[in-house]
Formats: sequence, C-alpha cells, structure tokens
Amino acid sequence: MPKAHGLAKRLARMAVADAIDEFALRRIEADAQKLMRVDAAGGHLALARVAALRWEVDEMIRRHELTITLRDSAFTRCDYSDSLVLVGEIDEAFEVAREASSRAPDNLAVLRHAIKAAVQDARFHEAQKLCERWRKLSPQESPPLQPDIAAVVEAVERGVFTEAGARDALRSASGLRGDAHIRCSGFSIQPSIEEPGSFGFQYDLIASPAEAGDLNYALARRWADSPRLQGDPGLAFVPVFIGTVVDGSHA
Amino acid sequence: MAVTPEALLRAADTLGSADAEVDWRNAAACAYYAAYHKCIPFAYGQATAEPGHSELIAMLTEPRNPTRSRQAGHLLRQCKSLREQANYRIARDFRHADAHTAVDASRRIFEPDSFKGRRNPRRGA
Repeated sequence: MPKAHGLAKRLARMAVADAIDEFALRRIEADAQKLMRVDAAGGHLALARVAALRWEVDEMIRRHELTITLRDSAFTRCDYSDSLVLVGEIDEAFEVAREASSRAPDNLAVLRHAIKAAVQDARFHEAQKLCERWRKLSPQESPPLQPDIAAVVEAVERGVFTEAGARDALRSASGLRGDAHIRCSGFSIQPSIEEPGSFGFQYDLIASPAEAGDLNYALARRWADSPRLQGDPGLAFVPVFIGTVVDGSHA
Repeated sequence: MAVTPEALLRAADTLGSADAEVDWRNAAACAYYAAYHKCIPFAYGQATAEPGHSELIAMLTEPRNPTRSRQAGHLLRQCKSLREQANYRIARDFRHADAHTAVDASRRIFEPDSFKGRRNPRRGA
C-alpha cells in the first residue's frame, strides 16, 4: 500500500522537474486512489496536487477542500496554499496561508510558508510582522527573505510606490504565468544598487529562456497598456521572469 | 574602431553560450548595453546622446509615447535589473539562465517594430 509521505515526495520532485511526466503522474494518481482506502485525506491531498500539476484548478480546489474537511490542520492548509501558488492564484494562496499561520502561530515551517505567500502577494507589512514573530520564536535564525522585505517596506513608507501598486504588478505577472501554465520554482527580491528604493522581483520559471522572454514581453506590454501600473509602482517595482531550463543551446 | 548595438548583442549572444559564470555576467552586461544604445536614437532622435540610464528609461516610458516605446522601456528596465546583479552582486550566483533571459529581453528590443509610430518627446511630435 502506498504511503502518503512517499506520494508527497514523488509529487514534490515532479513539481520542480523540467517537464511533467504524464505516465509517472498517472502512476501517482493510481497509488493515490489505493491510498484513499486507508487514508482518505492523504489520498485526496495527493490527487489535489496531481490536479494542480495538470492545471485542473477546479478539481484541485475540490480535492483540497475535501482534505481539509477530513484533516483540518495548518499543514493541510499550507499544502492548499502551495497548490494555489503553483497555478498562479497568489491572492487566494495568501489568504489560505494566513489562515494556516493563525492556526499554528508558533510553527516555523508554517510561518516560513506564510511569509513567502505574503511577499508573493505584495503584503510586505504583513510579511514584516510575521518576520518579527519569527525572530521571537527563533532569535538565532534570520527570517526568510530578510533584509529584502525590510528594504521594500522602507521604500513603501517613503512613498516610492504603494503595496497596492506592487500587488497589481505581481498579480499581473502571476496571472500571465498561470494563463501560460508555467510552473515557478522560486522567487527573490532584487534591490537595485543604482536606484535605491527600486526593486526587481524575480520569478524562477521551469521554462526555457524563450518562454520566459515571451512572458516578459507580455508583461511589458501589459504595463505599457496600463496607466495605473505606469503610475504605481511605475518602474520602481518590476517583476522579471527567468527561464531556468537551459539546454546548452541558445534560446 | 567603433561598434554598433547589433555587434554588442551578438557579443552578448556568444558570451551567453559560453560555460563560465564570468562570461554569463558579461553577457548580461553586454545585452543591457546593446539595448541601451539601441534605444538612444529612438528616445533622443540622435545616436550620439549620452543619457543616464534612468533618464533614458524615463524618456522611453513617457505616457505620450506609443505603447511599443513604453514596452521597450519596461524591457530595458528588466535588462538593467539583471545587469546590476551581474555586475555588482558578485558574491551571489549568477546563473546561465539569468544570462539567457537578459539576452532574450535585449533581443526583443531590437525587433523591427519596437518603436514603430514613435513620437519623439523632445521634438513634441
């Protein structure tokens, strides 16, 4: 009988693989159905992640909601939030992560997840508060994404751009990525050295540089078409897609 | 001797195909400067102007400019972000993928219709 932990590990590996192996995904799906007989929550959770990897968003949500009904914990909510990030629903992902964090306020793994979800939806002040909670819980270990979060908060407080403007930019970027069904393996904040108070927000995509370039081009077009984005955040907070699947040839 | 923006882009392309991180960093820098010099005549009406980096991006993204010019300005800003990482943050990894992405963004600025229908803000056209 397959174990939930084993399925989760296989799915986690697949989530960052260069390409989705549909046959492997079907094997996981079959194992998840078997698991369902002894561990319904674990089975639904695995099937939710399978649906996420296929970009079947409605099915993904249904399975995660079933998982939470069967096993209501901070961790099942973090899993749900992870899947929402995967498909580019960053606003929902943040709400679910916040709920998880409120259920397990002293858990560092949950807190780490909540901080990252907050940053991805440009909730920088909230992320900063979560980092302060982290420092109280674990003074010897720096919270994730610091000192970059503090630098963004300072820029917002100086009026360089607003959180709402940055949120519009990030939602625009995540929407484009989600529409293209391109997975993201990580992100980082890149403070500008030549223009203090300005930032790049870099998404590492599991895609070729050419595919990332298509998204950068579309994002630039969206920005150019939007007086609102041009006004705030303007060019002080600029998302950039990086295509990390480089095969040696040029894009 | 002189070089053209196109020659800089070709050099960026070559460096981006190399195997060493130092070449990838130089590829990103070269890609940015290729795009920077390509954009100057479109923003200023002459190729010999020497605007500051932020000034050039601001010129391209003027609200009264056509969409393609503003779009090119945004792409140039993305290239600049990668060039800063390549040139300043030497203690952090700079990946092959970062170089490829910078070259790709620069190349898109060279596309023939990038500045089609442009109005030169300095001429008030």
